[in-house]
Amino acid sequence: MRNLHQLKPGESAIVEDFSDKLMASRLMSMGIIPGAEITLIRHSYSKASCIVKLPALTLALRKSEASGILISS
Amino acid sequence: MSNQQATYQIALAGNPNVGKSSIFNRLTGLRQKVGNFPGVTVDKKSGIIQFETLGKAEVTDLPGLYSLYPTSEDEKVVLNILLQEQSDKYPDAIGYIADANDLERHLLLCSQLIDLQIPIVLGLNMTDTATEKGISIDSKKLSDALGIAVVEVNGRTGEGVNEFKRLLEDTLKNSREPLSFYELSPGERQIAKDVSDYLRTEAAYKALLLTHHAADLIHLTEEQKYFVKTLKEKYSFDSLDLQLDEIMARYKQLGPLVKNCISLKQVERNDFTGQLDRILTHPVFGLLIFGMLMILVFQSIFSWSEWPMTVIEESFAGLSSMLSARLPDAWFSRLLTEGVVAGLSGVLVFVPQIAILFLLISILEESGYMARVVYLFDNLMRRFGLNGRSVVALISGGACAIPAIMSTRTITNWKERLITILVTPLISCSARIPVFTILIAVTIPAYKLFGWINIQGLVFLSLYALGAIAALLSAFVFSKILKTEEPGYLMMELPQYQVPQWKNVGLTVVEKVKTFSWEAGRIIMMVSIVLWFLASYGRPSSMEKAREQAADEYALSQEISLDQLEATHELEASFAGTLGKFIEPVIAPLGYDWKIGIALITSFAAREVFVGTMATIYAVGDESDEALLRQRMSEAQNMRTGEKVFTLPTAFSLMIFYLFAMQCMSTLAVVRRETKSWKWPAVQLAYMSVLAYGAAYAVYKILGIWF
Repeated sequence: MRNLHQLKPGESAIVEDFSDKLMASRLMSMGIIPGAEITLIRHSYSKASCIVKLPALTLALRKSEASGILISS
Repeated sequence: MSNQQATYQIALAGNPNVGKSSIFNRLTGLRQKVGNFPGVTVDKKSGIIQFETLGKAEVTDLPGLYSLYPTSEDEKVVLNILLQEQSDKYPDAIGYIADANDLERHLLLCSQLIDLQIPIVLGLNMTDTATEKGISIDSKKLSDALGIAVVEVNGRTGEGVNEFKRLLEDTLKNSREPLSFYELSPGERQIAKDVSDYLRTEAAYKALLLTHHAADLIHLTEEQKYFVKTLKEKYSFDSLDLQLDEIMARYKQLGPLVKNCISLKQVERNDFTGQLDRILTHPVFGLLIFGMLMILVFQSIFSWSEWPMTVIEESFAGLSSMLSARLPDAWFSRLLTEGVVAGLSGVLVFVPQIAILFLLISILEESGYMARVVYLFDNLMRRFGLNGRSVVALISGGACAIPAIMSTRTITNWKERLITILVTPLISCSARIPVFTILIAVTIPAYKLFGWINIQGLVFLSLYALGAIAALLSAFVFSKILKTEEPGYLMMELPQYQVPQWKNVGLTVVEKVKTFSWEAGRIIMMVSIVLWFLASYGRPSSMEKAREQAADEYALSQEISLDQLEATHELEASFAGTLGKFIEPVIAPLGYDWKIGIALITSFAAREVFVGTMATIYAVGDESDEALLRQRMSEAQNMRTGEKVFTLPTAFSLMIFYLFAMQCMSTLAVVRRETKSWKWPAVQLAYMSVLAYGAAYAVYKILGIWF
């Protein structure tokens, strides 16, 4: 399955699952739940982190965090 | 405020960035105080409100969190409050603030709180921006669906805050049937029942949370923790899996519920935050803008604080001379003027710089910009074993390490937080400025490189840069030594940009200044009294001899007054002077004589005491006469070798020493409190001393080749 970090800037996808449970608990509390639509806004220099957007939430994620979010388009 | 007896306890809860503090400030006004949550080092803000008929209530602003399964130290406090029914601080009601723009997510935590069966009132904040986006919420429907009172509030204008307060009073008066939102699974119910029988708690969900979090709760005894642990093993309780299932189940309930209560209209609007972010979070421009902002910030600190600092120093000097003129010449008068007043002045003189820095930092935070800085620096900081959030602490360290270290509580990963705490004191704080200023003035010519670059300024700037570089490199070394399994997170909300709310900014500044004055102030005061004793008293015979020497010198030349000569010789004969001579062999390799040794010892109260000590040693009566002190220092000769004391190598070696050494008892005390052990302040003192000594020695030797 593809992960969030592989999206190109401006591309959107649907959250499917998480690769790490501890991270999932925190991400889900923040509103990133399976079924939610998520957009990658931009990567930082060298793609070490990225900014993603849900309808009412903008979030900064590390590469490890974004690649733990599995998506489908 | 503390003598007022509050009959009720109210907790204010909500997600981070929801504008909870504004509501809190609206509710309590200036009647608030900052304390500590029992047993943990997280600031607790509370204030008193007056109900119409029920009397007074104490409102506590809980740290913002996303769910009752938190990860950071700050957030875990909330559990300790909400799961301790027996405590007299246990809330009688909760005021919950939710963002109308993203109701579903904000109701997750609210639904968990409902299940704790504490009466709750829901305040919908930011309905104005939601309306702009075409979102309108039917509060009445929402109230019916959730079974709790709902009201629109506005932290910016204060609208609805009184109604919110009235509804809180209402829920306290009319006890309703306990509500429940989430239905526990059979497995959860079973273990929750055992736990609630054992710990005697009513609500099933509360018992479930006690099961999840037993290990983190400070009010449980070891025996109780052990009991819960055994139960968890017995039922093979998978905490993480159950958390995820519960959160998902709640969202599944909330989704349709919210959909039913709001109506959406498609509205074309321009995305101001998104557009600003294109520049401010840009990998290149973002950093450039940050750099320029920081230059502006530090420029302002120095230029704006100059005048108030002079005023403070002069008023205390005036007070001191007034006191010594009025009071009889006795030990207690000197204790008052040279110990207490001098100590007080040494504390308060930093208040302007600290206030200005935190004014600017809290403006940056309130506007939403700081979160972007954290994002921009996360990667760089991580390479050195830190966290993007460390940037805030490192910048604050430019004023004072104490509030800076206290700001690290937002870093969830313990190792990253610890490293940030350990290296922050290497950033040049305000107390080093007077030391650098005088040493630069004494040894560096006011020469302009290429006609426009002031060399003195360049040296000053290099010292700041060197401090920052040393902090990063030390962090890197620590990150290789310290091991942890705990994962570190960035996962940070980037809030919408907004105009700062001045009331919040003002209250933050007041709070930080209070923290500094109390945390640093009382230790500086104590040390300054001890040092006054060490510097004023010595073995009676040596002190007597010192006065004779002064009289002899005065008989030879009246250039310096007898009082000043006596002060100089007495200092040499005092316990401090004896100590200075005692450590001279240790500091001689760095190019220092025993006089500097005295200053190193007295600097343990606070670094800037260096200047005052030098003034006494070099018999400059008035400490504020820096020109005379500079002249005396640059003329000073080593008694044995006859060479100048403040040569270029010595001055640089001394500046490097002051840059790296942990000469701040207050910081050590705060580090001990934040890390809950003496181990880390000891490690910090040790590594910084080694670094300071080593670097000062190297600089002295290397510069000694040319100068």
